Amino acid sequence: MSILGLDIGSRSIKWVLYDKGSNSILEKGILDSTPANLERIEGIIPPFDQIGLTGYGRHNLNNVLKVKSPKIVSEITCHAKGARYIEPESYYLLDIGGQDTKFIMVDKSGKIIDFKLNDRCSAGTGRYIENMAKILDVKIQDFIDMAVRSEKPSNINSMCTVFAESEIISLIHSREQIEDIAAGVIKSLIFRTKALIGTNKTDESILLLGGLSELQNIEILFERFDLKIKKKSLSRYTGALGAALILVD
Amino acid sequence: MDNTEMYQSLDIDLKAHDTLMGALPVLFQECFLNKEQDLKGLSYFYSVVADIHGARVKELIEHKNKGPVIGSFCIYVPEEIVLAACGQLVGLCAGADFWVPYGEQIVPKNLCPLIKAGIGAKYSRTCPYFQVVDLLIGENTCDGKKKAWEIFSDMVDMYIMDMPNKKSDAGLKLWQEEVWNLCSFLEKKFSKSINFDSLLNGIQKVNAKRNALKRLYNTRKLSPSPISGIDALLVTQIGFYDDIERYTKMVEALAQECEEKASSNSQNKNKKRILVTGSPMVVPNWKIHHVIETSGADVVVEENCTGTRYFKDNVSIENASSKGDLLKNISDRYINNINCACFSPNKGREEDILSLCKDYRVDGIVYASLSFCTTYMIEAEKIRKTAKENNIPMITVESDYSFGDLGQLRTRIEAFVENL
Repeated sequence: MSILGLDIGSRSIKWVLYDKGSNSILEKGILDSTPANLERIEGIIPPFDQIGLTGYGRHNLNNVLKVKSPKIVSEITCHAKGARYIEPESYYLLDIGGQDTKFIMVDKSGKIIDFKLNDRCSAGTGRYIENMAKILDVKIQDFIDMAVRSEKPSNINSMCTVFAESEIISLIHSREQIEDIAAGVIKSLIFRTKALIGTNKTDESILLLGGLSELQNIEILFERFDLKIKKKSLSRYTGALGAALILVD
Repeated sequence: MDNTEMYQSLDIDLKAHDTLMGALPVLFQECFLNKEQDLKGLSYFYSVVADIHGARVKELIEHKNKGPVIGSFCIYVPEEIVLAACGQLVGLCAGADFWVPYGEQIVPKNLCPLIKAGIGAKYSRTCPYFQVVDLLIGENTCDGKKKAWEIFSDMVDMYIMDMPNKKSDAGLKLWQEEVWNLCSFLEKKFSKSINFDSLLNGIQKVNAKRNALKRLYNTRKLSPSPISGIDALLVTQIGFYDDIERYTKMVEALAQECEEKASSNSQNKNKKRILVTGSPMVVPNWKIHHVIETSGADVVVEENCTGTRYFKDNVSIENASSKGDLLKNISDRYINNINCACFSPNKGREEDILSLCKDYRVDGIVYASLSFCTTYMIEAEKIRKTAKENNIPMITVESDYSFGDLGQLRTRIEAFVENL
C-alpha cells in the first residue's frame, strides 16, 4: 500500500511516496507553489492508495485534487512526525519556511511538548533571506557563501522585511561590504529565531527543517551566532513525510 | 426596511455605511449560518445581528424622550447607575476592521484595533450607536484608552471615570468616589434624581441579566455543550446592546432550551474543550472562536470581558438601606470581582482561569490577545506559568480584526488541538 504525503507550502510543494509494506520512501519531489503548478498538481504527483495533506494549502486543494477523504493535518504535527523518522534523537526542531518559522519541542516518545511560531509577517523566515539576496542581486547559495566570508557582519535592526530592504539599501549606499550585509541579514534572522525560542533552553543541537536546510554552510553561520543546528538530507521533506506517516499508524 | 431617513437624522455617512453593512452578511454567513445549529432560541439573537443597525437604534432614538442614551467601551461602567438615571447603556462599535483605517487617520497604527476601530467608527460617522448617544463614559483602564478619550472629547460629550491600578484600600476608596461622582454627575447632567428605589430597580435588572447569562453558561459545563462557543459569544455580545428586560427573557428561554437539549442528549462528543481568555471580543469580532470551532474543538467558556467577567457575581442588595449602601455595593462588585489586566498585581485572574478550567472541564486554553493590547500580552506569561503548573496546555495568539492571518492562526490552533 502506497501513501502519499503532500506538503503544500507557501513557497514550494513537497511530496513523499511512502510504502507501508516495506516501511520505506519510494519517491519524493518538489516544485514551486506557483498558481500554474497548483493547478496541474494532480498530473505531477505519483499514483497512490491513500493521501495525507499538510501545509498552508492543505484545506484548499479540493478543486484540483479530486481525492476522497484525504487526511488533513497541520504542519506542526507533521514536521514532528517526519523529523522523528529521519532523526529520532532530536528533540528540538526548527523549521524555517517560506512564510513562517516554527520551533517545536518534542519529548523522547515523539510527542509534541510545545511549539512556537513567528507572527504573521515573513520577517525572519526563509522568504526574508530570499528577498534580501534579490536586493543584493546574488543567488541564495552565493549569498550564504558570502556571509560565511564576512568578518564584520552589518547591523540590521528592522522588524519588518520591507523596512529591512530600506536598511540594506542604505548600507549599500554607505559602501558596506556586500559580504558584511549578507552576514548581517543572517545574523538578524538568527537573533529573531533566538527570540522565538525564548527561554526554552536548548542544550543540544536543533534539527533544522525547511528550505534553508538545503543550503551549504548555513550551519557555520548559525554556529557563529551561537545557535547549534544540524541538518539531514531529508530535512526539507519532513512535513510531507509526516503527512504520510500519520496514515501509517 | 429602509432606515435612510433615520440615518440622515443621525448624520450618518450613508455611502460608507452601505459599504460597512455590505461586509457584515458575508462574515455572518460564514461564522453562523453555514454551521449546524439546532437551538430555536438563537433565532432571536441572529435576528438582532441581522438588523444590528436597525430596530435597536430606532428604539434608542425613541428612548431619548424618556432619558439619556449612554455609550461605553468597558464593563467597569456600572449599568445599574445608568438605568437608575432612566438611561440606556450601549456598547459602542469597536469590533470591525472596516473602521481601523479611519482610526489610523487620527491615532498611531501601533495601537490596539479596538481603540482604532472605536475612534474610526465615530470619525467615519458609520456607527448609529455612536451617533445616537448623548454621552460617552470612558474609563482609564489602559494608556491607549486614557489618551483616546482626549481625541473622543472633540467628537462626543465625554465623562471619564478614573481607575486605580491596585486593588488596595486606597484603590477601593478612589473607585468608590468615582462611582459616587458618576451618580451625581448623571443626576445633574440629565436632571434625574437617583434615589434608593431607582438604584435598587437598576441593580435588580442587571442582576437578572447576569443570572440569565450564568444559567446559560452553566449548560456549557455539560459534555457536549448544548450551545456552540461562537453562539454563546454572540449572545453575550448582544447583552451590551439590547433592551435589558427583553434580552434577559430571551437568554432565560435559550438557557432553558439548552438545559432540555442537554438532558435529552446522551451521546458524548469527544471534541476537546477550550477556554478562551484575553482581550474582549466586540461584535463582529468572532475570528478566534470561528477558527477554533472549525478546527475540531469546542469553546466552552470565555474568561474575558465579553465572557464570564461580564456577569460573574451580582451586586448585593442585602442589608442595604440607603442609596449610599447601594452605591458602595456597586463599587465593591465592580472593583473586587472583575479581574482586568489593568490591575497590578492581578492574581485574581489566574484563580478565575483555574477555577473555570475545573468547572468547565477544559482541555486547553487559547490565550487570545488583540495586537498591541499590552497589558494582556504581558500577562500571558504569568498565565502560561500558572497553566503549566496545573498541567493545562495553553497557546497564545495575537491578532487584530483583519483576515490576513487566518491561515497562520488556523495552523497554530489546529496544531494545538491535534496535540491536546
